[in-house]
Amino acid sequence: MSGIPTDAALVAAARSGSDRAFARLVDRHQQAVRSFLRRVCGHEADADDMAQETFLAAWTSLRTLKTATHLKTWLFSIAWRKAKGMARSASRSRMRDTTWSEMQDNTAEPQPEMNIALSQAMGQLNGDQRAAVALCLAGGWSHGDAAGVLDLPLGTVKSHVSRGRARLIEILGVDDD
Amino acid sequence: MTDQDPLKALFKADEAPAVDPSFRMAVMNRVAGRRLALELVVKGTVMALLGTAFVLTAPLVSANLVGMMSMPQNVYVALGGVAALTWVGRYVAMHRIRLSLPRLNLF
Repeated sequence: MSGIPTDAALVAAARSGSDRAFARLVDRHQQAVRSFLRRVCGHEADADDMAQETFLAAWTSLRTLKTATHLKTWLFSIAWRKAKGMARSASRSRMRDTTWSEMQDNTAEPQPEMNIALSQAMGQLNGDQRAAVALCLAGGWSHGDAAGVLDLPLGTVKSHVSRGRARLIEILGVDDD
Repeated sequence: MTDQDPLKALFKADEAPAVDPSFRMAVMNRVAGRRLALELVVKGTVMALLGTAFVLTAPLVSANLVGMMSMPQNVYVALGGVAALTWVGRYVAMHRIRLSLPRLNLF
């Protein structure tokens, strides 16, 4: 038996009031949730803010999680609902941040060219397509699990992934052998 | 998508950091803020209920106070009641209240 607690054990501890357990859950899942949201909404700061709200919502309704082993799917469902619901306000705050950031010295590390190209290419897909690609192609989720997270029929997810992939290959001009 | 998929390498390079203490800290700060807000609501409600009960019972108590306190056992009961209320007030003020929220699917 390993000394690393399972998600179920951490959820049980967090439900009984352990902040340390919840912090470990955040550590364990933050990369996947943030990466997903960054790919879906295309703006790092908005995505990270949404990821924080996702974890806050998870903390608030941790008792509603029926099966602790499905924590990851549940977290991604919350993240996806947040991403859909906050699309308009995120767009407004992005305009505000852009205006603000234009007044600041640009000290952030420049993004590699290909990352920018990928982000722009993702931006050309529609919302559901982007989410399906982010889950299945980037996150390695099965089509079935992604369908559960996105609340879409399996066939629709498969079609989104296939069309989204083809579109990305076309836009980025990468070899598809 | 295979391991050799050209998109996989691109997505890999675009991942959020695997370890990010500042992100964890930001989340836990928000959690602490939410908990404080919830506790303030609960404690405020408890205090308001206690205050209302006091205001409502004060006229009755003051009207019968002299008669009630003529019997020694009633004095002990009253002192015990005040001590119990003080203890409850102190407990509510000093301890974290475990909130058992109803199963609302808000998010």
